[in-house]
Amino acid sequence: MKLENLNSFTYLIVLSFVSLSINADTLYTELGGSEGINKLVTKAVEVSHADQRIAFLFEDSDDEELIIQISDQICFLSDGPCEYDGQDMDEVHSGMEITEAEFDIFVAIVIDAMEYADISHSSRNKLLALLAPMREEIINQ
Amino acid sequence: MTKAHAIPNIPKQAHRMLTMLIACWLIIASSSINAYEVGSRLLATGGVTQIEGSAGSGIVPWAVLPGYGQKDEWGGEAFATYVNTDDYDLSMVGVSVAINNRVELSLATQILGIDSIAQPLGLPDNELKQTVAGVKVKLFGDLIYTTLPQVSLGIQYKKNTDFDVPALTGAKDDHGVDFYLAATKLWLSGINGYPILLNTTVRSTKANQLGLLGFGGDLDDSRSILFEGSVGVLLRRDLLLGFDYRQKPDNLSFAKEDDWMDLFIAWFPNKHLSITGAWTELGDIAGKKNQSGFYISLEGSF
Repeated sequence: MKLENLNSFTYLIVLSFVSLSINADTLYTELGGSEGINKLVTKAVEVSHADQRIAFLFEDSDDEELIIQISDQICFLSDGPCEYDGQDMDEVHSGMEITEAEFDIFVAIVIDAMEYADISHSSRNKLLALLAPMREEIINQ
Repeated sequence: MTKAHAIPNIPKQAHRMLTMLIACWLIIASSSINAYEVGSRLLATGGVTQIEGSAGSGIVPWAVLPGYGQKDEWGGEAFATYVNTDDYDLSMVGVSVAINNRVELSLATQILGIDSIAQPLGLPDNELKQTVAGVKVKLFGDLIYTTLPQVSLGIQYKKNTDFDVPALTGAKDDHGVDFYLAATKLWLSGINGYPILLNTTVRSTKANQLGLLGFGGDLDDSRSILFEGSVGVLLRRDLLLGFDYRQKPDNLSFAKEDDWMDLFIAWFPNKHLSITGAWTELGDIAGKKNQSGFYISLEGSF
């Protein structure tokens, strides 16, 4: 292996990382504000009802209330002008015994819904990063 | 060399290419069948299949499990990979399964075409072949969801099909076992929302050029502890750009062995298929200097 090859590889990687890290907006704005968040959550709930692998988890839910709760939570997490006064995540999911697989299926549905709401790749991942730590309070409860 | 050994070059290379084409056709055909349930894990979280058949990137095994099976599900991959450098070509096909997102079982064969050195050196064969059987077990952690990285322990049992050429180069054994410990972590927010993946693998091995030139050697017949690393960025949900580095041992006096690296891009159009292209820098191989070239891999998964 030649040193100049390693140098040009390193240069390429540093360059691509730098070009990715130019930014301005807050996440709430990037998500399209309350309109964008409502659009993605409504879509995610709708698709979850239609997906036979996880539909049973949404059977008894009050969709209108569920959409408000999740939207408020996302608004709050993304530094939007909302207070989230909902229940704790482990309480909400208590007794549902959501598996790792069902959790991942829902995450994929949320990603699709964010795409549907025209939210960019980088904004999608910033939101996912905020939601990911909740997994431990959601699965196997 | 006797007449019996004077095997023409073309048929063997053609045979390799035909095998690869059949493997690719099988992968594409099976990936278009929707008869089986695809696993629940997120797109690209199985990585691709590295050159020894384990889930990872181009040349480095990661802690991830192949395919998309989550806990209580199965996953798996079938792959065909072709590497072409200045003086060699390397063809690989293999399959792997993942049980419960916990245990990976893999089987792969590698064929290195050595036409460029076989005749000048009067070697008895113009191909080097080996089979790799692997087991990997996830110890703890999750690629995405836990603060700690996902950590797995793996072994790769490697066996040369024919030991004549490796023996001539000074290799001591026609088989060997690699042990590796891999830690892999994907940070979703990454750099401004572009997820960053980091992998570190530590390997104990006696394999010369992956094992294609046998195991152990006249210079050094002991195990080497080697570092392997990958860094990647998810440019899109379905597009992973990354860089691999792999330390190599140097056991044979007849030719020095260099560290390997590659710059790769993997595309995951859906959970059934991925295509990886890479530029590789493989250094000196069996006396031929500065081997660089392209790498292309087609994979089917579920």
